[in-house]
Amino acid sequence: MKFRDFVCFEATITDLQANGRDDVITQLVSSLDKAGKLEEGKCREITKEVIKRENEASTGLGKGVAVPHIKHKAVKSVIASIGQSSTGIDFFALDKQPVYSVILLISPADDPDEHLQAMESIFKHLQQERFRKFLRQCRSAKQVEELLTEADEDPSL
Amino acid sequence: MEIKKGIAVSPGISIARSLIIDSEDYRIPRRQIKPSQRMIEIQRARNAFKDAIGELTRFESATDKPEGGKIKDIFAVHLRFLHDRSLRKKITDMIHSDLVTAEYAVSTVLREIASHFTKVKDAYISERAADIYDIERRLLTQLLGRKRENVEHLKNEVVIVARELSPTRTAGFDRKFVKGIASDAGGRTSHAAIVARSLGIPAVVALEDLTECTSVGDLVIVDGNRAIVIVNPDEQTIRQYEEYSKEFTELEHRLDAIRQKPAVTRDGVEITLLGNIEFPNEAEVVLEKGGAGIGLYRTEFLYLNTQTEPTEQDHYEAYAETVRVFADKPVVIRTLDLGADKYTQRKRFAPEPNPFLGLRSIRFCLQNLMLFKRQLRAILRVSVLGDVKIMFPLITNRHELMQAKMILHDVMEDLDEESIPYNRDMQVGIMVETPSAALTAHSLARDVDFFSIGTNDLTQYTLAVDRGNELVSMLYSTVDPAVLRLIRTVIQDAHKAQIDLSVCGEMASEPEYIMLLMGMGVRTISITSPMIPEIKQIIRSVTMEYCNNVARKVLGMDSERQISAYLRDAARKILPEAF
Repeated sequence: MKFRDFVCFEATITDLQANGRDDVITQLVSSLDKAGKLEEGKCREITKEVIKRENEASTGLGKGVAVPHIKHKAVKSVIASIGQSSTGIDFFALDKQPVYSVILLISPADDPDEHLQAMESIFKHLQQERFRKFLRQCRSAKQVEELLTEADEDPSL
Repeated sequence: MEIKKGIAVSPGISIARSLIIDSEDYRIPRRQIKPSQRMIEIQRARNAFKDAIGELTRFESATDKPEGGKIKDIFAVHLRFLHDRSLRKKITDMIHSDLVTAEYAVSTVLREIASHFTKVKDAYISERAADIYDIERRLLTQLLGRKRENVEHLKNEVVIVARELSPTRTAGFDRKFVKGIASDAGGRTSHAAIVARSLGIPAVVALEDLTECTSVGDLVIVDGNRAIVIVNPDEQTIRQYEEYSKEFTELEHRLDAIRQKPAVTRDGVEITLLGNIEFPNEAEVVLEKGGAGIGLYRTEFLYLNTQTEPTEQDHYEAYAETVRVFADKPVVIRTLDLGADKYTQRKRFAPEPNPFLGLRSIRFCLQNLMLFKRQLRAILRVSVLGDVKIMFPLITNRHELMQAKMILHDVMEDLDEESIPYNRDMQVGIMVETPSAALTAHSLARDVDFFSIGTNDLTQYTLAVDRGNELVSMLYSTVDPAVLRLIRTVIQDAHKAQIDLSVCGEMASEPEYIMLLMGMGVRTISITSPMIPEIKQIIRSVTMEYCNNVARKVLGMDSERQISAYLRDAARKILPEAF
């Protein structure tokens, strides 16, 4: 699965003005909702569940990246939105390091494998220091789209 | 009589006839024939020569391109050998006088010639030995066809002599008949050595040219205590070794007596002794030897023995078998630690140029999440059967650890949805086996329940030495001051974070090093099961005060040689019979 296949670029927020982790999650979920990617009227429920999942175990992966995610029947296929913060967000990760890039992932409830395939693609790219750096430098949805397209073609990025 | 010195990798002494298996797995048993069968066998030998000549002539004429010149020359040399009447006569004479099969005579005669070649100092001539082996193989192919006898159907006790052994082959050996193992290549920590040790078969490796000086059916002594292999020993040597063997068995029996006693120092400090295993059927052996659980359950065998990828159920059954044996005792299952071998490499278009620093182990899993998921699901499912813990190998940074933990959490959610029970509080730990993990242990400690120090890889990566490469293996030492400093850091960081710590590398099963580890603060060790009684005896005969002293002294030393010598002395005082 390619990275850009499941990212909704319309829902990208490159200048997160958020008050903490839960606020970031709320904004990214409603951004997906506005883009029409979620079943109507499920926005609040999904937000609550992502935060609940995050409370169970932080998805702050270190190196300034977090990947909050849940499986939910409000989506038919995997969908993600990307948020950037230049100041950094506290994701309550044990390492206390701020998070600059957030990839919110919602996977369909009945297809755990699709979720893993998307995750595999995310891991592959986040593993690359250059990719993380470029992602942090993106200032618009278009730049994010270009970066992901390029990364899908060149795995070394 | 020929005495060869190698590296002892599995203790014990065995005396038996040799069975040579080369990389093509031919097994040439010495089979006696009736006098009436002589002519049949002689005819078989002659036919084999005729067919081999025919085959070679065909090859020779097929390679008429100019660049084929070299190959053509080689074929010409082989043909000259095959046309040599005196060679054929030697073989038929042997069949006639010794009443043996054609294949046995071919193998014996040609190996004898090859060993003459290797003894010649001139490199050009000694390298001809390889040609002789090639001719031997060619003739044997004619005689045995494609039929390969395998070592699984042995009827007599044997010593396996081979150029190199794969762990899978070694694991297939029947302990009842395979009494010893001796190989040309290999090192102390090569996987075949680890398997031999866990099966309790005496083994000596790195004998360089043993296969060339041994013929099928030779009497061979494997001394896994002194790192010696003797081919065709004389009467006196045999008697001497029968004596050694008896003494060793007596020592083993003496150690038997302490198997069920606790591993406690004289001043009352308890050490948890666990076993390392590779296969589910080894679990029983760990219990027999007095282990208090499994500190390292390697899971690679599931992938190496089959052509197809194991299913979740394959994983589950293998783990459940082991966990049931241990009931409430801990079983630490390490997730897939493959890499640098066929399994990961065959999926690639081009092999990785540097697989030990490549896509292996946890890195491979994180990029193959479906495969990883199957294993995680199986481990979670067995977690309700006993005290199961999961351990991720080759972690180099926190990022990887968090990814692995995140996927574990996702798999738990899947199980929740399917209402499949698992232990929600299953402990999660990591192997600390890279310098980067050791140096960041303080930070990794926050996110795990335990560390297990894998001293083999930690040493290899710290000293930049391939432990299987005989050309540099002398540089490999787990008591190098650099390695010891890293180990100390990890122990201190684990204590500070109040998480469990164990050592599961080969270092912990070295009688010479155990006091040092204890003195450095290690209270749990996991070792190959045959070593459990001996290590337990050492623990029971020392005081922690003494161990602390040893550690203090060693950590103040700055040369590996000094440290090794000091530790050997210190251990000799405690357990003289083991050295």
